[in-house]
Amino acid sequence: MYQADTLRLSIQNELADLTSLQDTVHDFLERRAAQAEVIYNVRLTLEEILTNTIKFGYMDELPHPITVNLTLTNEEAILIIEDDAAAFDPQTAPKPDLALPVELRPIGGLGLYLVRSLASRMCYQRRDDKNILEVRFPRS
Amino acid sequence: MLQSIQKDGNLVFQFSAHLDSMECSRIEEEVAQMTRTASQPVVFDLTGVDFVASAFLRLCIMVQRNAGGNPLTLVNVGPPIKKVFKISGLDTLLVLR
Repeated sequence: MYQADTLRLSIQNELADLTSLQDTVHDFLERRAAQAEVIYNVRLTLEEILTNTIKFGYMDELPHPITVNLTLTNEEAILIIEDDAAAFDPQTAPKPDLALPVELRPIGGLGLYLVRSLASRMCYQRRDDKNILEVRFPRS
Repeated sequence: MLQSIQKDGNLVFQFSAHLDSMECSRIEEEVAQMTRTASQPVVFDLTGVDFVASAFLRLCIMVQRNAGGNPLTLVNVGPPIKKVFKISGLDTLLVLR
């Protein structure tokens, strides 16, 4: 039988809000017997995308809402992140040069690359002055 | 919580379960300072660590740069974390066990 459960969460653009969001998402996935790899990938995506948005996405000091929708079906976990930060498609971030020796490795750029590598599908839209990012991970 | 011990001639660090951006920011300076002045090889023991973000990978790169000739060694690395190091190409630059 097809089943889909959705968790909807909203936080402010504060790094301190990330911990409770991650705890709630972890409980949601664990109660539904999601595999450890799915739980890891969802946590990593939220960590990397939201940290990037909160640190670099806003031009003012005002509070801004960020909403997260997580749907778990029999086949996949679907994460939709929506914010009103500056337009940014994570798929356009340059790929880090993985062939460089450690002394020459740039310090940044790995987080978004990890998310892109682990996801089975990513889809970005800019709609009504909002970034809408959908990231999918298979359950098996 | 950050713990470090001297063991078998190595400087061994132990960490809390989630090495996210906030935790890495909190420990980064202390780890950098201790590893810069250390003369012995540095080991990161990931026992009990079930999540690392890219901030931890950056910390590893920074420590490796400071380490002189000794490669940074990570031990007790679980499969999902190993995968993240592999995707980043760091599994060939650091020693993972």
